[in-house]
Amino acid sequence: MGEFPTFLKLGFHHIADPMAFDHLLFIVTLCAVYEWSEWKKILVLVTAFTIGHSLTLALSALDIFRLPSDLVEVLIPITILLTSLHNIWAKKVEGSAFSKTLSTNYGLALFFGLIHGMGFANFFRSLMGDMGSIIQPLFAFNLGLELGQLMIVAIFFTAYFILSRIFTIQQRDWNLYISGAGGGGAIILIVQGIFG
Amino acid sequence: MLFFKIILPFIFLLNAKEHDFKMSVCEIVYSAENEAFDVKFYLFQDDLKSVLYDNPDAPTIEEIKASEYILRHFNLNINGQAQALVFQSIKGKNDQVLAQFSTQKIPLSSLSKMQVKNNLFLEKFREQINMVYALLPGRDKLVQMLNATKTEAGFSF
Repeated sequence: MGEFPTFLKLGFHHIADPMAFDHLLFIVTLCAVYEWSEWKKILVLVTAFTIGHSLTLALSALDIFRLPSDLVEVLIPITILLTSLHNIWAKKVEGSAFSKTLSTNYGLALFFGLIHGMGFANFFRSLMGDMGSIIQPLFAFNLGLELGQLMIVAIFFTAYFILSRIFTIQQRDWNLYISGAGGGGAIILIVQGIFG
Repeated sequence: MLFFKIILPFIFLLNAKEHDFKMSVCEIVYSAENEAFDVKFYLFQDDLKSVLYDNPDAPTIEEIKASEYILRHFNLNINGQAQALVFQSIKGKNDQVLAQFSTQKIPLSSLSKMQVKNNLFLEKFREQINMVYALLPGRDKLVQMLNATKTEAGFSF
């Protein structure tokens, strides 16, 4: 296999692997406030996350900017916890109207994407030795991340669509369940990161 | 509704663990100066300590033990002939270990194919990924990704 498909595959598996719980949990929590029919808003959200993590992945992989990996491993679940709290808090204030929540979510996706990008970079750097240019592998790896990210979003909303039809669940309840579960998972990751 | 209230959060919490990636990098680089291959391994220190001492926090790594472990789990075959790797050095680099070996002299003009078997750490970590890079002077870098389901790969020049 050539370099490009190898790193494309690695990027895809890194984010879509169920063992890669942190990034997956963030994307799911971020999408919790959306209806499956709001695909345009979801596209903007995913793009904002992509811009954020692509920027710091490149800067960190090229050694221009870097944070200690231990710190990044704690910051990532904090982004999940803050996103889930924001989802729940915004619901209480605004009832069923999510307009403010949605626009704030774009900002969260962009800003928190910067932190996740440094996490991706830790993995990416471990794949590279000392040999040659990293531009092509970096591009392929990032593209793989994007494909994996889109797959997670597609599966999440397909599951939501099916489950909401079976159980006639309200969107606000769905948001509460997903955000609550995301926040709980994030707390465990934070504790593991600090004391583990 | 039981699914949403109990089972879904339970699935999330059950899976909540850090994304601890397991991987190694091996570079096989032809040295025109020595007319031989330099074989470098970049390994995580805690992974190596886990397989050598069953303790990721062991205080030190013994050179002999580490080199013997690598040689037991890595085979290099060039032009159909098994290569006896010669240990050069091992040194710490941040949270990694760089272990260096070399082959006997092999004329560049005679190179046609290379076969690698790499099952480092797989007895301990089933999710282990072992990247293998090969580089000849003036050629593009070649790469293979090995794991539990694929421990051998070939390069053609």
